[in-house]
Amino acid sequence: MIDFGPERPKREYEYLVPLINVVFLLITFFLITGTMQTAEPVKVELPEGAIDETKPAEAVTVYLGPDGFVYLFDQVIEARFAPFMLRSFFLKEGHRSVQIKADKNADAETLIDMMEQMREINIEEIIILTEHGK
Amino acid sequence: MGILDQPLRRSRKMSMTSMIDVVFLLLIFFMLINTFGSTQVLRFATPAGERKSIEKDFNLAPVFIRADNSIDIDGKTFPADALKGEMQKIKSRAAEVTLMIVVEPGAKNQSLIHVIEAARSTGLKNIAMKKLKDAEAILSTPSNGGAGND
Repeated sequence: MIDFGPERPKREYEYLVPLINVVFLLITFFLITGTMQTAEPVKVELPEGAIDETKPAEAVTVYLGPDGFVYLFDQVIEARFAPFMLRSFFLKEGHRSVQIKADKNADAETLIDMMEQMREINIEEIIILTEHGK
Repeated sequence: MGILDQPLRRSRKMSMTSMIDVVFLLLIFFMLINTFGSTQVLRFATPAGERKSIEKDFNLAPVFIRADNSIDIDGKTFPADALKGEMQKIKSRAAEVTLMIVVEPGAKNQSLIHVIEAARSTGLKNIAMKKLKDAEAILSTPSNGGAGND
């Protein structure tokens, strides 16, 4: 019979250091790769797209929901009145870059109205967000 | 009995369970609040006001997005995946081409994005987006230089 030597004494606790190492690595991974999700005023299903351009550092986000309502921070307004709200907000705040999160099932006419209004109040750049196509 | 005579207190092995609990909580927290980069960006530089082309070899190409979300170019309907080829043809029509996307009431945002992306991917720079009632006035004037929106 083979002699394997004396049996090693069992540890009081399971050896947890490798587990903690892995978990810390996972935390670091999520910290680096992810971006914090801000609370969104409306659930928006973005249209699918293929083109991805560089995102500017700062832009105010305007939401166009599937219900035809426009959301800007805590303000909610029906799409046909949205140009007035956008005009007064952007003239007051002086932003030059706007990103629009428009639902894929929202009316394209509303989106065009919003963009037209932004152009008139000298917004220099409009960003439309899409989602990577499946 | 002096202090030195007291038996040494053996240090207890520290239990790691509480730390692991906290670390797991942190892990779950970061997993839940993170979003991963599936969002893409389409950028539009807005021109200051309407503009007229000074190019002699100029063409204004209307693309219609109908209420049923079909896409019409020159009276023919195209599926979204065939748009790129058609945009190439439009681009080769003249030295300067402005694509005018005309949207009918009821057309959805997704169709608009399909057309914009097809135009962008073929290098069409001038894209104007108009509602049908606004576009009718522009299209009825043959000499119009078009409204650049991109």
